[in-house]
Amino acid sequence: MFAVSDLHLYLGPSSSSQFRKSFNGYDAQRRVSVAKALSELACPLAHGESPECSRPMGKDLLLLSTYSMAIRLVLQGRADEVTPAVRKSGNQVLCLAVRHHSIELGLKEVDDLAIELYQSLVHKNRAVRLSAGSVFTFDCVYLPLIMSLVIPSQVLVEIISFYNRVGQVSWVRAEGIFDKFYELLRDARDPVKETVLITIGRVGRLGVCPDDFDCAHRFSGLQQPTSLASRLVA
Amino acid sequence: MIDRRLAELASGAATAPNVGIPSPRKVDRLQALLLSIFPEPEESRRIESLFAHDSGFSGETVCHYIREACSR
Repeated sequence: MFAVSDLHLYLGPSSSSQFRKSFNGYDAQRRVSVAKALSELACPLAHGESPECSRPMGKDLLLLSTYSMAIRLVLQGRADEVTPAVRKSGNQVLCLAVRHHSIELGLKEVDDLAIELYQSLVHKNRAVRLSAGSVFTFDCVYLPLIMSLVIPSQVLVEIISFYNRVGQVSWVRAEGIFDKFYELLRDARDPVKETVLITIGRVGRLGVCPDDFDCAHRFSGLQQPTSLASRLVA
Repeated sequence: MIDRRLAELASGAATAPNVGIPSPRKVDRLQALLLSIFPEPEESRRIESLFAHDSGFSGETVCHYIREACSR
């Protein structure tokens, strides 16, 4: 296995200045294909051969920053190129990236992503709103043959789950997301309120598992596992 | 999954299955996925060079490659 520092040996020292990916001219179908390929790559990059979807083994895997960068490019284009289907696929990718984001890498990227997703929460297309906040499913093709798992994909729910793992230090951030939910429930159109309600219901089902608590304990010194959702509702 | 775990136990790889290094078949699949994202000739050449070394690759190496390609 070679190191990142060796990459330039294989790609050439000037690769970063000469090689810039562009999705200009890609139609919606090609953009969805790119997003699906990124989705399929996420698990093997994060945890290699292990068929169980878990957080990354190494704390230095910058999957979220990498994928955020790639998805921003995929979502740049004309309206007929960046359709709701493309945005939905992009949110699927981001959901997987957040799921594999290591606590040791900190909170900023997740915080920034949450703010970006607020735009999707009020998107005119219901599928986009749901993919930003709440439930839909996709097949994880990477998993062995017939093990085509159906995995719930919901970026903001995944982000709140991440904050839950981190523990108390991140609760103020999660409260910011709930403030946004309250704002939308008060001011937004009825269709938006409907999808926000679905998202909140999903958040309410989050809990703290023992494995999550281990991480939270390391990060914040939490003494007792506590459900973030129950704290916020209380 | 249970069958797989039983096979690991039987082969003595009980405590820590090697999760960091994908099998050759998986590497081929990963390469195909990357080529579907970066299909242009120059991109393909770079992807192939990334996988040309049979010592394998790491997740961070691939992430680094994608970041390099997508950064502005």
